[in-house]
Amino acid sequence: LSSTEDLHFLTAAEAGRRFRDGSLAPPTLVDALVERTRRLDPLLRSTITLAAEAASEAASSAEAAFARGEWMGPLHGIPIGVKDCIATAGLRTTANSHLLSDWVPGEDAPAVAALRQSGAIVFAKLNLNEFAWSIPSEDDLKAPPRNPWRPASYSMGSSSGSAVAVASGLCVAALGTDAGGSVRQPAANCGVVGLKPTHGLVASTGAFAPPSICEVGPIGRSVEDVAMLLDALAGGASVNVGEVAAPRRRQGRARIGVPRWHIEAAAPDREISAAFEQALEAFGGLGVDVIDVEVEGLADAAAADFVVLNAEAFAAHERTLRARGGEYGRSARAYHLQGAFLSAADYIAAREVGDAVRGRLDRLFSDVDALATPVAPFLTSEAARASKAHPSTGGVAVFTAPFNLTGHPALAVPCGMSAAGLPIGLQLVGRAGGEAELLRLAGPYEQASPWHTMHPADATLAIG
Amino acid sequence: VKDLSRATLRQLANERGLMLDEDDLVRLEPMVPDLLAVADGLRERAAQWRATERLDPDRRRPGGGLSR
Repeated sequence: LSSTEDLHFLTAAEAGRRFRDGSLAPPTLVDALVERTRRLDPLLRSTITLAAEAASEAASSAEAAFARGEWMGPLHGIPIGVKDCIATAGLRTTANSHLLSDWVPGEDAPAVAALRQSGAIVFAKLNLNEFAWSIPSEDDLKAPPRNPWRPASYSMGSSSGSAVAVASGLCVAALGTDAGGSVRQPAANCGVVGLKPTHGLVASTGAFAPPSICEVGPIGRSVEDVAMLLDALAGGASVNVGEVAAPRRRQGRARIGVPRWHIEAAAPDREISAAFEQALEAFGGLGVDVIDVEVEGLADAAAADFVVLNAEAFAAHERTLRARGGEYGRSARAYHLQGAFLSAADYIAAREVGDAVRGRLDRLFSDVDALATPVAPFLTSEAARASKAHPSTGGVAVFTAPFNLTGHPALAVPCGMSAAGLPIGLQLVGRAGGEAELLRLAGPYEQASPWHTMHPADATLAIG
Repeated sequence: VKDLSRATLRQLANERGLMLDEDDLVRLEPMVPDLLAVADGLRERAAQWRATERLDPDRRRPGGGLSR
């Protein structure tokens, strides 16, 4: 890499290594990303607030620290974007809502504080569906992000800005939130890696999110980057990053279970099915056993997550909906009102369905190391959007939402490209607290496949 | 999917003290019946599983008991 222009697709791991060998300084990287964001984001619309000045100051501080021989860890000096429903001290946090257009939190959310403590630089606040629970809508505070692979389409959401910014080379990595697939679906749709951690592993307070099913999760350009971010978010206790980059030899062959009946019942797009089968073959080539399994109730768990999400979203917003309902976007207002029509019995039944399916999955994970599914049954955000109003069909979250309700960790990794040039994602689901195993399984697959090396062309972004 | 007329939806909203305008009703008219149908199905499923499986109370916590 020789020119400034080449810096924007560095992974966090690569940038960190260059900081340490002295071939790159944090201010140079931040300046390059600021310039790129100002040039491309008017089209992409991934960023609500660019913290250019604060990021430059933090980058200069990091450079000075390196000169003194101080190093806070692999994220020191790395510019990170944060979904704008996650509070950032001293930096506007809007949740992409007119209700919060001028809100500047006094404190960081714990996840953001953890990243800052690891030396990361908060570079930008990133676009989302209003309050992370709605559909992309032009009447939100900021219009929806466009998919850099096909700017005529929106990105899937709700952490759409986070995935778009990482895929487009505007941020090195980002934080999103995921209550039904909102990290994994946009990551897959934009060709990057996204993780929904085990429920409770990463603090999700300080974010606008349904509390019992939503996780703050990292989005990055590689499995290694996601592992690095998770390590910081979880206080360093979760993942040995070195083992992800250079996986240890497992005792015995790893085993992936495929819930074949659930996948076929959801009838994914045929290009998604083909890419998924190729990914399974690739795992076979890596010495992983792939077997069909049956998990009764996955579709029920997806539906139950939808009920819990609606009930908790209404509960969180009820007072504001009654007092200032006219200040929500029209779509967001309707989405947040739905939960008013549910009963306590509905909510309890949904939780019981989650309990039962969680137990089945826990038993299954004594026999397999991970489950594999596609991330979404649809290729485009338009198809995903149409499905959201009809959850009885399973919708776009049919593969992702079950694991929000059960709390298991789930990772989205690029696994293909459609004929029209839209990325396709593979989901790997692991045992509760099993992020390290999941990332160790995904790392070799990523390195053996070409998808993580592909980036949307600037020419596409210029043409729009 | 449950059959739910706009008038019924308006009545349900009024019972909950929600002040919905026509735009709200137009948007919610296809969404709420589908959501309620999903919820009905889950109540049946939960009742069925409650009768045939013992749900471990220790797992009645988000995250399956994982905490930190």
